[in-house]
Amino acid sequence: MALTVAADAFKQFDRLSFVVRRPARAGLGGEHRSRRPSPSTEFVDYRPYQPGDDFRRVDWNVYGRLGSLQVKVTEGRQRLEVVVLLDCSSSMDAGTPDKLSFAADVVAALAYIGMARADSVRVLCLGKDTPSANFGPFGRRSRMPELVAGLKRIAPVGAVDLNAAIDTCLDAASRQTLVVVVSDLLTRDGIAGGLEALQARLADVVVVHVVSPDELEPRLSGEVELVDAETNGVLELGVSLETLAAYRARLAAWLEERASECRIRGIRYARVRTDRPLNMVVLDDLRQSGVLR
Amino acid sequence: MTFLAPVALVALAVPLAIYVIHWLFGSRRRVRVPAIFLWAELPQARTGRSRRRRPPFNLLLLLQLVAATLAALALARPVASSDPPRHLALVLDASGSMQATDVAPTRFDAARARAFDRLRGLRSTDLVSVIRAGGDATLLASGSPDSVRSAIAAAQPGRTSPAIREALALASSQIGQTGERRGQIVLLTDGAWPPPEPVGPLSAPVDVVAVGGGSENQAVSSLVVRMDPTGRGQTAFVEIANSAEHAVRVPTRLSADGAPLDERQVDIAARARARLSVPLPVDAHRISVRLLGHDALQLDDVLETTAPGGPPRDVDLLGRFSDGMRRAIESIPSLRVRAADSGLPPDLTVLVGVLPPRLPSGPLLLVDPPASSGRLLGVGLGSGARVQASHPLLQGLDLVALENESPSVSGVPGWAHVVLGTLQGPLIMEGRLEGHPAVAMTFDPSVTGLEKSIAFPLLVSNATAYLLTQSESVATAKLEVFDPAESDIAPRPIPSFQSVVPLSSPTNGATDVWPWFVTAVVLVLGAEWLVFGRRG
Repeated sequence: MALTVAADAFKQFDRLSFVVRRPARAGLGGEHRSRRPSPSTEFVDYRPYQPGDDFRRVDWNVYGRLGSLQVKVTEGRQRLEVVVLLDCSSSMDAGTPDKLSFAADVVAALAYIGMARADSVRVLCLGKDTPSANFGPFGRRSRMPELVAGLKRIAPVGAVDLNAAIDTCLDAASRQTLVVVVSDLLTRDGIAGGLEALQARLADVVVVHVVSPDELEPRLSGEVELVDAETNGVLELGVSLETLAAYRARLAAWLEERASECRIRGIRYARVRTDRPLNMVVLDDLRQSGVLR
Repeated sequence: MTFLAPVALVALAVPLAIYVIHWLFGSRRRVRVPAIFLWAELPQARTGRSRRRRPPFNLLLLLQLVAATLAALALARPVASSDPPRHLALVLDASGSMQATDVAPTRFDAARARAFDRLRGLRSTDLVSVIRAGGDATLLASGSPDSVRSAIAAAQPGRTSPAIREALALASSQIGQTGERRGQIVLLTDGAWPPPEPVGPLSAPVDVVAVGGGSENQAVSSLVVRMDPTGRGQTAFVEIANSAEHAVRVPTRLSADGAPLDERQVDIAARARARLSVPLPVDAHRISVRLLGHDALQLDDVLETTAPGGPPRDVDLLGRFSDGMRRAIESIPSLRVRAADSGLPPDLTVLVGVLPPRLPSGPLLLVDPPASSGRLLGVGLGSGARVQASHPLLQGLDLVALENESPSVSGVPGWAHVVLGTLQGPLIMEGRLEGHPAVAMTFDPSVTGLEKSIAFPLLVSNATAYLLTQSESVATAKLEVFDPAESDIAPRPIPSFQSVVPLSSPTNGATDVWPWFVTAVVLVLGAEWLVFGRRG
């Protein structure tokens, strides 16, 4: 049910890459700078020769001009480990188009961008206890169809405790990864607990908040029975203009809480609407939010 | 498709009621939202106006309406007809016993109602023949079910035994004329008739619908009044029959000329008869006996007759009458020979040796009529050789006295029945000659000396009494005479009637489809349960 965009539609994102705040550590061969000096063609600086240095790295031109032995310092390029966490709770199965399908499109686009930069990309679908689906790691664009096929099969799994799911989805060895959380964040108390658990693993966290126009501007009137998509709880309500105004005010406050929840922790936050075209979301919204460049 | 119980279609109001209930108190619109905590404790609309909005046609409501509609249609017993049109022959037993009131209001009305019931199960393309089985079989109407209703409503029971055999034969011939239709004969009867003679194979099966069944009835089965031999009084001989299965005591009243004369309680054993004789004054004329108790059939509780007594009747003697003849007439106390030129019509005319072209009014006693008269021309030489010993004309008569008489005619005229005859021809005949009750003695009693025997005045007395009785019954001749056999209203075993086509069930040819409707209701309710379960 998820994923509505064809795989070849992502070519327009070839030039994009993730903005990272920490050096990549997923191994050599990538395109991201590494904190480790290593033999490569990427010149960084000179330093005086010290005993034990490789004579092949001495710059003899500098010695001829200055009379001192200087060694060329080069920097290695490493791959970035990108983990995309997709919220598969039933609350994502709402709106037109539904948020889960839209979020799958966004996840596929982010994965494509990562694979285009030779990053290691994993996609985890947040489930009740363990990830309901796990794709990757993918390192090359040639594996994009495999990811697309997997995303097409995902389905809502019911009620999901986001904080617990985020906390348990990453294994203990995962460190200094870029974690992108794609979710509607619909929990009463926010996902601060989950975000702090990620930061405890030194992860670079990005939150992509998916909202539906039906949530922002609900078209309700009269006597209704509201049924919670996750818990099936029922709330009987007589909807009036006053009710809708109060709802909109509450929603705006709730959205601001989620944004500030990220900001105060140094987490990049991007809010995307499902009625926006995917290319505008990726090329505009995510770039303006500092997720991509 | 037709409905066998169209009254049940009123249940179609149930789906409407369901919709109205949804409208008035209907379910709220269910809306699925990502999370309801954002909606909790918001200010709500307080107006009740929104509760009266038209309910949305959601799947659950639609399934409920479909299930209720199908159930209502199933109650109306829909039938699908695929067979050829039918020809139904309704035979209504119109015998006297059908007037019994052991079934309210009468057996005949109950049979009429059952006939209407049968019409309701027919289609407009079916054909119905209505046959009345009274004294004879009569085709009352034939046509569509609606067109024969008036004929059934107008049919009335008679007073005779039913001509069941003739009615079945008529019904069979009617159905036989429409061979392309599936025929059936429905005999609506109380069964109070003896088995008829075999009818032979009928062209359609016979379905006997029985009405009534009791036997609680008493009847005045016979009433005869005779003049005492002294000529100074009369005696009424009454016979009362009890057809009930138990003994009864019946209050009985005998009246003469409208005045009660005798009233008594008569005890009668079960299915037995009681006879009693009541002395009457010599001038009593109209005698009636009435049972005062209550039974199922009131038609036979009264019987009336005319007594030979009463004021003297005027007799004209015409022709070559002898002194013996005159003395015989004058010896009868109730007769008075008058002058021939009287202007008033006589009560009885005796024609001796003559037969004028214009017959006098009233009954005629013909003595030795001229054999050359065309009125006496008969056919069948020797066909009059018979004796009806029980005939009133021969009652108490010694026939030896007539053995020497020779008839003046050889054949039997068309208007007459032979009461006593020889191989040479009829001696005594009776009948209705040009509308006149007539008794003919085809011999001359003065020739053989019969006039001087004791038998002659008795013969004359019998003849005059018979003629006067016949004359007074002319006024009531047009009425159907009650058949005493109809007083036994208990049903008899009804024989089976052979048919060339086997009897089929009443609904044969009309397939019941209500089981399909019920199955559909169950399926729809199951679907509704599934939908409701999935929605939670």
